[in-house]
Amino acid sequence: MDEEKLDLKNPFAGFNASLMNDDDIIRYWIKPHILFSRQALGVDLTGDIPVVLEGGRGTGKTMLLKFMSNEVTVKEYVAKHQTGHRFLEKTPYLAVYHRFDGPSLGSFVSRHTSEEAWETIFKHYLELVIGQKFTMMLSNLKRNRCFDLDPSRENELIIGVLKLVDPDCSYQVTDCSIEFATAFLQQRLDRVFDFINDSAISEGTKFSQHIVNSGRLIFGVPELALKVLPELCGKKIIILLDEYENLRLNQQKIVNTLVKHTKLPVTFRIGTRLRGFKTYDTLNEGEFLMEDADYRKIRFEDVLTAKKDSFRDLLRMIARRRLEQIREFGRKQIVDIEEILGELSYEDEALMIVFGRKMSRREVDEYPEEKYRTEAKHIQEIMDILKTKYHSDAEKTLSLLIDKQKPLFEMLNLLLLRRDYKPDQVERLFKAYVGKNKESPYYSKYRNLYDKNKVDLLFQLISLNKPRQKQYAGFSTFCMLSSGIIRNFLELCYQSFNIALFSDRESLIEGRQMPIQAQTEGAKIRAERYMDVIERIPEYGNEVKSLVRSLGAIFYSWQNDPVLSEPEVTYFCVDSTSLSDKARKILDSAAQWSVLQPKKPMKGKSATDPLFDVYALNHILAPYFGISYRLRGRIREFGRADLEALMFGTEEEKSKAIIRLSRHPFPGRTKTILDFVGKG
Amino acid sequence: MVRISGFCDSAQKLCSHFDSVDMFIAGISYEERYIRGYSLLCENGLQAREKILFYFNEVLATYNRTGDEARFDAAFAISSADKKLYVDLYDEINGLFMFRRYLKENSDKFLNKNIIIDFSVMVKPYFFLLMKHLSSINTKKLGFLYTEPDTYTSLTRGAMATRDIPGYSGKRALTKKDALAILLGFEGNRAVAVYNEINPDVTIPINGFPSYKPEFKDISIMKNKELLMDEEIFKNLRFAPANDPFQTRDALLELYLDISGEYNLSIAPLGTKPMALGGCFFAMEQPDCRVIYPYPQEYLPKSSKGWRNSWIYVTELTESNSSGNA
Repeated sequence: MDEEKLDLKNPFAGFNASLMNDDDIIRYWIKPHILFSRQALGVDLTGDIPVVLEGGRGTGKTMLLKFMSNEVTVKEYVAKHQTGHRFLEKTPYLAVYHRFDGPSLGSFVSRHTSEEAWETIFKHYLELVIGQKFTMMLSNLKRNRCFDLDPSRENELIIGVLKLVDPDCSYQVTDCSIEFATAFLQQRLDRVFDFINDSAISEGTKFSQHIVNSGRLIFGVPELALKVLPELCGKKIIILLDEYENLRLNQQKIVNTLVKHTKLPVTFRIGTRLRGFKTYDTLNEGEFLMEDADYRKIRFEDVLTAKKDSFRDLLRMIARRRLEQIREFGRKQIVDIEEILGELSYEDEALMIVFGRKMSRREVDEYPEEKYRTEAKHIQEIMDILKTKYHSDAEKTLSLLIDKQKPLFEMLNLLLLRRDYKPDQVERLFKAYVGKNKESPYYSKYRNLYDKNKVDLLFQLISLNKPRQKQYAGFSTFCMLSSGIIRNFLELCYQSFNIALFSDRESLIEGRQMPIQAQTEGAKIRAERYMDVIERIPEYGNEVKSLVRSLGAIFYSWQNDPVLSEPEVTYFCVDSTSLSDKARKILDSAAQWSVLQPKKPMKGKSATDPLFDVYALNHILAPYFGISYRLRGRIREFGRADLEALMFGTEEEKSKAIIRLSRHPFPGRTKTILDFVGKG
Repeated sequence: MVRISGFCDSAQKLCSHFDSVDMFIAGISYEERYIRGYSLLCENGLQAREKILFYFNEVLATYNRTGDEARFDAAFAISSADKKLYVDLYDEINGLFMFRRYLKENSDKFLNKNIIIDFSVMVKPYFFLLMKHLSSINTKKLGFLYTEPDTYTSLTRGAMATRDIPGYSGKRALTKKDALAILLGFEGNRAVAVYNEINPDVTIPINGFPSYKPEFKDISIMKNKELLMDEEIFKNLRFAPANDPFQTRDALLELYLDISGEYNLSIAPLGTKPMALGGCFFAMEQPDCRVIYPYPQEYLPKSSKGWRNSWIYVTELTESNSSGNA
């Protein structure tokens, strides 16, 4: 093995945009056209109206916001044109990026300083931070020769900024660069930090600095820059604020006020996790942010997954960009992730389960019929039913209900027999379908039954053939496991490539399909890591984990229901208004971390029922629990007592709730389910 | 600006460094080692003139047994001259405000006195704040006593929030990138939590080596594998002795001098308590650096079993006008 191969890097290493530098952002950035083409819906990412970008962890919000920042756009332009000279002519906007750092924001509170005082200090701090971002942007534009800044204009800018901070002072500034203003603002910020540090340990600490009023720098510096630098005329100035959910309630009110009363050309883009808004209120009594009037919202998962093909295309392009960066893959044009992962159809997987390995059609044909009938567990069960319930010529009837090339059809026939269909009814349905008799009502009925249940039939086949396990492999499966979260897809690829590069490196760089086992193993590792993340959720990690483990057990029980009364149960409904404050916060927390994904509310089954909130378990966890990754069957609504027991009840309460909500058609199943809850 | 100098030695030799102890400060716990430092003090013939004991309410409430408080009173030979502070383990700010109030009202008991703090069973934010408060007065000699556990069990459960330790928020320059130094402990999940909160441009893990026991250094690597699997992080791995705060401080200082021109430095003290104390010394000397800590939902009551060596860290605090930055 030569050195080059030993150094082969995993193309999917590094998937957190927050940790990427500007060069990485440029290298890996793929413009998600589905997000940028929302103007028709009134959402313009580069337009006047503020936009809230809402999405779970890893959906790509940070990547998008960072890509829009002046640091990246200028760098990308200069890389392409070798100069920033005409950058301002080409760009419709200039943007500054700021991420709200959770731990820092938590320091804007102390026992001996009032909430009001902290509110004022935070406003002041935010002005200084964004003001400094603006001066840093001007430095960046100047450094890259996007405009010519003669000393007199530069002095005018500097004095202007200083006066915005402190209008009463008369500063004399000569022969200074714009960096002087940045340093000046940093000095002011340092005083805020001094106060934060002192007030944490001393009573009676006073903040004595001159306060910069809200909006003074945030709207004032762009206004000043436009006056001094006519080159900037007509440019939108976008403030990109990331991780808005980290702000405390009062801090959100401050930002909300700025958004509500934004002064063009300044506008905002706010990145937040789902349910990141603690309040929509502004600082003015009775005033609040109104969607559509004050801002437009994009919910990443919804937009990305609205068109299945668009999401698949986006993931394919993102993967291509990463594969191209690795010489071994790029040079040989092994850059199509769909080809690398391949597809594993349910039918092929069913054959693998029954025969214990991947089988070609011909191999299946040549497999001795007698041996198949005696070895295949599901065939044995069909035979048992025919013999015990119908006493007919079981052998003859059996031959009408089986086709060893199609174990899933055989499983469907078994399901119908379990549901007390008569053998001749099953045979009629099956015959119409395999005979492609499309005119027959039996044809469509059988097709519907098959389409509705095929994934669960696969799981049932697995349960009859233990220790065989579900495979989570193939490009389509990875797309579905991703749940609309780009990082999930990247991490699935990362883990699978890790395994494949270790065990099948040669075959991978020769362009052969990645082994199914490597993909499944990668998906399982990713699912386990995701479970670890749940533990780290601040404040409610234990409760969310308890809920998730219980849901895994409940959904697993429905999937193993021999008569499949509901197929592929992976979500639950609840009337959130009936829940305690704590339970609602736990659901919010689970949604913020994308462990549960809120879906469109559903009407209850009875006409008088209220709208129920719907929460789907993130499909990335499917390999952990061995359950489906599609949204299909619906079970009865969860009541408050049961849901809260699953979240924070005693072990006994939890067990009882799981049993109530699970499917237990056969005695003895309970133990299995409760054992399952203990997993992890 | 504070400059902290000092040395470490076996606590068996306490009497060669202290001829008397005016004030002994410690906390209660269900860890077996909680009383070891006090016992050593007595064995060395150094009966403390006065004691301040942090009676953590959560510890007292853990088993809800009447008589437990008396057990602790007896173990520390509490007398009327001593002060018991009933404080919440999870509220170091209020706990230390109570201490500060006592300090202000009784400054003569601290001024130019020999003080020994046994921090073996104190949670880290407590002794970070304690150090801040004690640095404001001129003590004669300040010693930190520490007893290594024989084994660790489960340390904490769940995550409450990742926050700056109060008073240690540092000064972040927006023009600089962010670096995070993690003093590695046995809870990899908490290291990842801090890393995700900070989103640093560069991460420097620091493992405790030499460790209390040879296997501990490997356990901490294994427990932090999720973080260390990132080759960019792994290649930055550094070491500092698990039981010497001065060397940890020096390791951090060396790092700081290397990178502070370009990076804001945050440190996460997740390793041993002596390493954390080294982080505390460093942060006091370099107030632009920030100390960040993942507060757990629960500190488990019996997080260690048995004890091994005990150490005394004798310090001298001096005011300095220079930052120590090269």
